[in-house]
Amino acid sequence: MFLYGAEIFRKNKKFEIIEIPLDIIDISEKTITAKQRPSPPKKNTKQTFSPPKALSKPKLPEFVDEKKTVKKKNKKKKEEEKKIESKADSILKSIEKIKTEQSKEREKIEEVKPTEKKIASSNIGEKLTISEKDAIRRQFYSCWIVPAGAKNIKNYKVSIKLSLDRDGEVIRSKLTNSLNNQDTFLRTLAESAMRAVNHPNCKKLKVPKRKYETWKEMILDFDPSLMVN
Amino acid sequence: MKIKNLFIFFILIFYCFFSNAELRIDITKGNLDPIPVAILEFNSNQEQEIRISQKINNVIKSNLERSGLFSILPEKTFLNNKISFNDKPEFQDWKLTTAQGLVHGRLKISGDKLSLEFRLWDVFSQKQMIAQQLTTEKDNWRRISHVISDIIYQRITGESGYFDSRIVYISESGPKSARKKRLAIVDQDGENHKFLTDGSYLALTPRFSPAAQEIAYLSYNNQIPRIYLLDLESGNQKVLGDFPGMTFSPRYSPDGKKIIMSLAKKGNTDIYEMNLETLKIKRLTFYEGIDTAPSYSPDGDFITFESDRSGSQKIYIMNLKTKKIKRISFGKGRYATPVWSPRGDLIAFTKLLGGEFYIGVMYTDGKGERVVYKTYLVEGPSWSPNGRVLAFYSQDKLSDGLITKPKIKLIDLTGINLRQLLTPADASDPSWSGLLP
Repeated sequence: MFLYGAEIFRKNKKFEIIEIPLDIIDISEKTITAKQRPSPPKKNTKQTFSPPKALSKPKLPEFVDEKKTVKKKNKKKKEEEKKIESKADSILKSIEKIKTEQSKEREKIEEVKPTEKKIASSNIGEKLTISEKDAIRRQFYSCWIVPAGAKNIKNYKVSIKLSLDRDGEVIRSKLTNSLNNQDTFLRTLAESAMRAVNHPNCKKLKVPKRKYETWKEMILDFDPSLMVN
Repeated sequence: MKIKNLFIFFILIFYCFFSNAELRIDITKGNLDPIPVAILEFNSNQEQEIRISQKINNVIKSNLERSGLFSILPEKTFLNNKISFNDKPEFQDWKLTTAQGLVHGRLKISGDKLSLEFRLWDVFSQKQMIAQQLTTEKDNWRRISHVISDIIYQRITGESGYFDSRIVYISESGPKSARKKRLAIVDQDGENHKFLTDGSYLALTPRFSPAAQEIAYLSYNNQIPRIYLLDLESGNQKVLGDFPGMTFSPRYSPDGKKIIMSLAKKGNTDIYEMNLETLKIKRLTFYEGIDTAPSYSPDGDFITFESDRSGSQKIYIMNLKTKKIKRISFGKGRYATPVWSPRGDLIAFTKLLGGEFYIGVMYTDGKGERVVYKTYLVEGPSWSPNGRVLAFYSQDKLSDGLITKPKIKLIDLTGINLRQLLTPADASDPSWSGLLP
């Protein structure tokens, strides 16, 4: 019943395919060394001035009357003390000046702050309009490369929580889904969404600045189900 | 009064809850652009190492580019051409190139051994995605390139790759009256082409075993159609058996232990299953008509096949345990050659409608039917090992009425990345292997 190798096929061994073993090893992330970069020069925020130091003290002239020198020394001391006092006075005066200016500024700020508070509080609860939300959606069209064609793509969705500064720039992004290591496609979808959020074109969102309180934190739900039929 | 107060209280709670609710925006549209990836040449010192490094680099680049899911950035856009293997890349520089993925590594050859270490980085998230070391014989550089391509593909897409695989097909040559049909095999990228038969006998419908490097095919030796099993490693062949009547469309079970096929007896074609260990044959369908082109589901519990039991060619599914049969294709036209995806989610098929042929896919319940490719003649879809790409053969009708020669084409199941498999002669009836062991 079971015929092994017709003659014609036995002779026909023109080809030979030999499998060569291949070993694969995972390399730990520990093998990366933190690059030793030259530390950037620190900016001098305080401008200080130190006079050049004298290399050696001048010698006293020879054959000098000691009394005169003592009197002169006393006079000099008094002048120096006066100078120091005047300097101290001027410093104190300037400090007082600065203090008064600062207090004036504070008063000014305090005068301004309540109005800002008023504006901010007036925007709490003010929702984004549909067109404002659409502008954000449109921005992500170009940034999010959808991993289309994957199995059961319809069943997946990932959410990312964003914290934004007043300019609409993303300062923090966090995935809210818990990733299961075995579900490689969920991880892929999450990574694609994180890449979109970190994309240079989507790092700063087009949001209305006056509604900062509304959008300073938002959740983006990346849902690829509508991209496939 | 109490009810009224309660009502106001609930309305207030409801308002407070929703007025402070977090802003949520659903992002339901993105783009299907390929992911930009920068692939650096692997660091190496000796001349031989540099030469092989360049070759490996080129194979990886063309594999990923051909998949349609990646765009490989040209080297001239790089600000740095070398990254020390143990250093983190300067991500700010790489962001400027628009690269989202970055591959770099180092290659060493000592004697006949080739060792390659590489890292894949997510540039925007500034994280390492994978790092691996591979060792093999240096003449095996092409294979190592395919394996690295698969690792990169899998890590970025979440699906296993298909680059370390082969396609067996029928090579055709000569005039119509004396057409020579030979069994041939080629890597999925068109390299390493080999003829497996000399053409003295007609060879048809080759099918790869998913579990071993073995091919089942139909051959007309002495004008008798028989199913042969060809062991690729040894080159040995054996005849599966002598069956009365015609045998068609052999296909392996997912574990490689059974073969399913259709046998024609007295004008009636039914589906049979043969156990390759016991050589026992079991009849699966009992319809007085044509049941043919069977294909197993990846778990081996179901088969899909074509049948004319409803009056025209349609696709059916059979539960092998309960033997219940269910029709799944209800669209217009004739449906043929259904093939279950190795992922299990889709069935690919050929459709004839309005004088044109289509390659399409549908879910296993028959829903979500969509066309992937259509032309004058297109037939015989076969899935890549990851169920992402379809291989088929097609002939186009030119504007002057001439018909082109049959060629094998590959297309992503999204239908957006069509490529032709380069073969030395005309080609038909492709069958994709699983990933090489």
